[in-house]
Amino acid sequence: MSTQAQLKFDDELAKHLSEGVRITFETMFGLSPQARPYSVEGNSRCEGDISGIVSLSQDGIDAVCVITFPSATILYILEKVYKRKFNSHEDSSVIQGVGEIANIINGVVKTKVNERGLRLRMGLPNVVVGKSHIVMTQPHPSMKIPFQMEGLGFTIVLTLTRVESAKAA
Amino acid sequence: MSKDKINVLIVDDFEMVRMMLKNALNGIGIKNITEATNGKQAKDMVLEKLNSGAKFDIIFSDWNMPEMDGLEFLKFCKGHDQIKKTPFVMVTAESESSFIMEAVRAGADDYLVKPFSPMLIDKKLSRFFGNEAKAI
Repeated sequence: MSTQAQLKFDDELAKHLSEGVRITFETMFGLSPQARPYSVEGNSRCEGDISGIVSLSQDGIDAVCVITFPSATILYILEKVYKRKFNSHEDSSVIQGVGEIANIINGVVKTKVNERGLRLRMGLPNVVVGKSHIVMTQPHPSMKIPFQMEGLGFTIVLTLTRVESAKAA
Repeated sequence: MSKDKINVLIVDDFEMVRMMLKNALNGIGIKNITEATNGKQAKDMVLEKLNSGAKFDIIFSDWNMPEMDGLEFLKFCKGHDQIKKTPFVMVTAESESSFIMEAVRAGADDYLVKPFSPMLIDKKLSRFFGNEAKAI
């Protein structure tokens, strides 16, 4: 295995995650979510009603990125796009929308992280739906960034499920 | 060609992406928009349009779709004498160079990486329809 760049929980990674969210929301929804200070935890948990999950991996690294929304937040965002009201976050258009948002954000994050010398590839997005479900990352370390916009919040969490030390060629 | 005359075909299985493209196109003055949810439906629409003596002026198509994916639909379009010159823009969620190269090799005229802004779409249109496409 050749020497490879590592994915580390540092300010730069927090910046890439925040930019992935900001660029996606500003460009596609005309919204400007503000990132709050990030935390790095061994037992991160975030609660929401609908979550988009995308895996990112390369040789020696497996990561999972989860974006979790309360119902009120995701309905506010998607009603702007679809130009119609939804009764529930369980509507199939909302579920599909969350998968696509997770996909687009991770596309931006992946591009930015790979500019640091990584070669991450993305999996297809999955969506978890359930009132007040909890996404737990224990026992893996994770970086958690809460966002706020127009009185509504949501959270993005990146968890490293496997990181092998780089070996010299 | 002025924007109000441009006929656009959007092909994506995700309604949200179709809506975002449609909203962006509406925002720059394009109103003649037809939507298809996969390559097969889009192919039928293209053929139906040709049978009525018309054709789409530009196609925006997703890559990953059920039934017929974007690449297969692109190959159909570029292999058809009457529409092979119709600009075909492949829409992808990430700037994965391998996807883009494969699409370009198969004849895609351009690509659009999500997230996209109305301004970026306007730029793409100007490339194919000239500065006149800027006038609303």
